[in-house]
Order: sequence, then structure tokens, then C-alpha cells
Amino acid sequence: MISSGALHQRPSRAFFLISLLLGLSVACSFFVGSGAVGLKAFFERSDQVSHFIIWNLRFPRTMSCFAVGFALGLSGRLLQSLLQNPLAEPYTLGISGGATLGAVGAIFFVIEPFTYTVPGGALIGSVLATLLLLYFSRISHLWRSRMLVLMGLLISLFCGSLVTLFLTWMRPHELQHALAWMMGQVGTERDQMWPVLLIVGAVSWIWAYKNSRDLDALLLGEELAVGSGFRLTAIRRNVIVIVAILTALSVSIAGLIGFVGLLAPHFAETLSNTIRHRTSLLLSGFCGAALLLLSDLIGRALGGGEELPVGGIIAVIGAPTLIYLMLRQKTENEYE
Amino acid sequence: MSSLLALWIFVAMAGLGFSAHGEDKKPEGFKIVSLDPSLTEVLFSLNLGEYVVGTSDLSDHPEAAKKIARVGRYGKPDVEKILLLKPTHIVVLKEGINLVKNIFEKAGLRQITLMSRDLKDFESLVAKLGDEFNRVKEAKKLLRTWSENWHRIQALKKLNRKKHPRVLIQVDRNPLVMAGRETFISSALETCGVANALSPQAGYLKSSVENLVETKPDVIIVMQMSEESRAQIKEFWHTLPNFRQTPLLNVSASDLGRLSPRFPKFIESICRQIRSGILTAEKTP
Repeated sequence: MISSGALHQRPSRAFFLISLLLGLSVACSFFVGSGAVGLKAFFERSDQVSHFIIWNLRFPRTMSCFAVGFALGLSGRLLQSLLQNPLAEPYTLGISGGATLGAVGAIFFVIEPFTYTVPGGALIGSVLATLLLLYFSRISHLWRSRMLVLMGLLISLFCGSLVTLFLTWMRPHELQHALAWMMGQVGTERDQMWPVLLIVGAVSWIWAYKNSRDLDALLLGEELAVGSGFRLTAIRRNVIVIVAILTALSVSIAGLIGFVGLLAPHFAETLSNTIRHRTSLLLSGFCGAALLLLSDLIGRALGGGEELPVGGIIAVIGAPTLIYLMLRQKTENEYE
Repeated sequence: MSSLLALWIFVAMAGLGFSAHGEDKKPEGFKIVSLDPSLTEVLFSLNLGEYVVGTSDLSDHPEAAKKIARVGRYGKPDVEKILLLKPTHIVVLKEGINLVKNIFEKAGLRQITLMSRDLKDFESLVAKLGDEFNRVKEAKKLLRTWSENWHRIQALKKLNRKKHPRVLIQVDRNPLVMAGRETFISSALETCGVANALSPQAGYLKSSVENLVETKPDVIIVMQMSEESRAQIKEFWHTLPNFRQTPLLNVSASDLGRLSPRFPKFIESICRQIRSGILTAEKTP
């Protein structure tokens, strides 16, 4: 939904609202879980178990949701600008397909997996998928948005078919592990990787902020942007690499979580009424973080003792929202 | 003098009495969480049932195990619930703890990870638990009984010597999963001379019906894991060519699907029924 900027932009209000929501979500995240933990347990070690639960389980989980949501939200904003497609998200370029193949392959082939086997596999898979995308795009000189999307779709389909084969051959406990990963999962030992993703996310945002003028040029359309002297090929390549790294790390930590990258930029735009990248990049990141935190909270609260997969919760929220956005886009196009 | 002597004797006896009292077994202080139903059964068999404070959801044997607090599903333990029970030990099978295996050690708990893929693993598992929880005598007794059971099952080979029965073992219906050779169920049945009709295929196999049609087993063992009724299972198998007259033997997944102290009892019952030839398609138990 790349609409033209309106007269009444509300970035300050948007940041205030989303910060409030984030703060509340983070606070609630420390108190929602299988057992009741009091405020004292935050600071005192007298109740060692509660103190451990807060700082070794809930804190990394909360930060993991924040970091992954931020990364996916930021990636979504970048991709929707790059591809000039409001329905683009980090998984459009086949990166998630590669990550899934890597993760499932790691579960299938590695006999004695350790904690970082699966995220390592996901990382390798997503990097390979990205390299494949960049290579095919370079040798074919097909850097246009539509061709990138098509290439990404083909990579996804190829990876998906191999994943299906692996799932068929897996033993029951391996299958359970793979399916849990594919549904999106926080609250595992992989949450400990959150500092890495947060740092990479921050650095990515800084790069994107510094290049926000070039990114704004993408909104003019490819031909106009090239005609105005912007180096689109370089921007495209850099955006793809950044999105690939952010997606790869996010998927390594939390498995497959769809819709965050798709929805977060739209929420940001709706709140702030602007798509200028100086505002929308950070706001999209924060919206992604809030979305993931809220979904995780809902999953923990409604699970009835069993946590619902966060990827599933977001899909339940995301699908109706996506339909609404598509219908709204259709209506806007009819009026243009 | 005699009263002094009597006093000394009294003091000596009192001292002995106190020290004897002091040698009374102190409470062992174990608080065990078992994340696998077969391990829960073993713990109860080793007289450790009173120390089990949490189990996974499928721990349904013995009866007392059903009353123990549930701490998540098999393969998906609820870490917070477990920690809030303040256990001293976590007992788990290797496959059931992929995602949280280091958290318990980080929390200062003793985690005992065991293997239970075949009959030999069971013997090591029992010995290890016996060592860990000071139940060496009970473990040896359990293993003695275990060994005697298997000798008795082996002796069933003499029952109806000329018969070399072959079985198919259905583990699940949707998707259709069959147990091939080298699974613990198949290995157990081989002890009494019952062969796997899928031999030489090994492991748990997602079979197509086409693959099974040529096997011509003498009996089909159906492990009921789902809500599917016996009538539906019978209908499925008896509509297939070559299986219309094949007897079906329905068994509970919780009985036959786990390596537990009760396992030999069920294998013995199955072996007797198959080797004695009492099963027919019309008289399916």
C-alpha cells in the first residue's frame, strides 16, 4: 500500500503509542507464565527459583521476541519499499525457504544435535538461498522487482519440496522437533541469541536511516528513481543482504514466524500516516516487536497450561488483517 | 557397687538405643520429575514413587502416577512448572528434551538423560537409576525378574514348533506407520520366534498399502494410539486383498508402545496367542 503522503503526519504520536504498547507488553511478559512470580523476585535472590525464572527464562524470551519482531518489522519495511509491493515480507525472497530447509536438514542429518545445530542449519540455509538469489539476479541482470519476487518464489518452492521429503523420512521425535520449529517458537535455549540479533538489527537500522533518502527514492518508482540519478542496483543488493541477515538470524532464534514483516509496516504507516523512511523504518521495527510480544503473551495466556505457537497466533491475527488490507488496496486502486 | 554397675549398664543401653535411633534411615530428600511415562513406571518399580513430584502428561501407570502433578507434554516440558516444584532430579529420555536440555543444569538441577531404544537400553537404564537413587537392590531384583520373563518368552518357541508365524505391526493409522525390524517391539517378538513380515526393512516405516499387500502375515498387531474404533480398524484391514482372513490383535499403545517393567508381560501374552494358533479372523480378541 504505497499511497502518497497525507498532509497530517503523526510520527510523534505514533512513537508515543507504540512505545507505550511495547512497555506494557514487556512488563506483562515478565508476569505471564506457568507460575506466579512476585515483584520481589526481580530484585531479591531469596526466592531463587522465581529469580531464575524471571532472569533466565522470561527475560531472554521477552528480549528475543523484541529482537525478532524488530528485525522482521524492519525487514518488511525495507522489502516493501524495494519491491514496491505492499504484500512483500521477508519470506518473499525465498530466504525463509532456505532457512527451513537448513533447519529441517540439520534435524534430519545430525545424529547428536546440540543447542545451536538447528539455528546453525537455518542460518546456513538462508545464506545459501540469498547467495543463490543474488547470483541468479546478477548473471541474468534481472534486478527488477517482479523478477526478484519470482526468483524468490521458485527458490521457496524448491526448498519446500525438499523439506517435505525430509519430513516424510523423519522419526517421530525428529518430526515433532521440526514441526515445532516450523510453527514458530520462543521460550527455548535459542532465546540466548537475542543480543546478537539486537545488535545486528540496530546496525541495520542505522545503515537504513543513513540511506533513507535513497530508500525514499524507491517510492518514486524504478524508472523515475534511475532517471533522478539514484543507484538502484547497489541499493537493491544492500537491502537484500540486510534483509537476508536479519531474516536468517530471526529464523535461527524463533523458527518460522510469518506475517510480522508484512503487517508491521502497515501498522506503522496507519499510526504515523507517513511512509518516509526516516520515520517508518524505526516505527516498523517497533510495531513488529510489539506484535510479536503481544502474540507471545496471548499464546501463553490462552494456552491453558500449554503454550500456543507464536507463529500460529500471528497467522490468526494476520490472515484477516491481510484480507482487509488487500480489499482496502483494491478499493484505493479503483478510486485512483 | 551393684547399683553403680546397674547405672553403667543403663547408660550403655541408653547410648546404644540413641545410636540405633541415629542410624535410622534419614529421609532421602529426592524430588524427582520424570519426563517420560516409561521412566515413571521404572521409578515406581524401584520404590521411588513417593519421591516423584512431577511427570509428563502420558504417565498413566501405576494408578498413583495419575495423581502426580503434570509438567507439560511429552517432548514439550513446561520448564517453569518444573522449576517451581523445586525438584532435585530431572529424569528424561534423550529424544524428549531437545529444546531445553541445558536449562535444568543451569538451574542447578541434576538431569539424568537416558536411552530407551531397545531391550539392552532398558537394562542400563534400570541399573543407572538404581545407582543414582540408592536402589541398587531393587534394581537388581527388577532386572532379575526382567531376565526371567525373557527366558520364559524364549521358551515359547517350543510351542507349536513347526509354526514360524509372521506379523505386521501397525503403530499408527493416519499416516500408516508400521514397525519394521530392529524396533523394540519387533525385537521382543523375535525372542519367541515371531518374525516381522516386513523383514528386512527396519525402523518405523511410513508404508503405503501397496507395500503391505504382498507380505501375507499370519497376524496383524494393531497398536491403538488414536480414537479409531476396533470396527473401523477391522474394516480397513479386511477390505484389503490378502488380509481378509488375517486375524487382528488390538493392543494398547501405552502397554506395548513403551519399554517398561510390564512390557515382557504383554509380549508373553501376544506370543502365546500367536504361537498357539488360537487367533482367527472371526475370533479377533
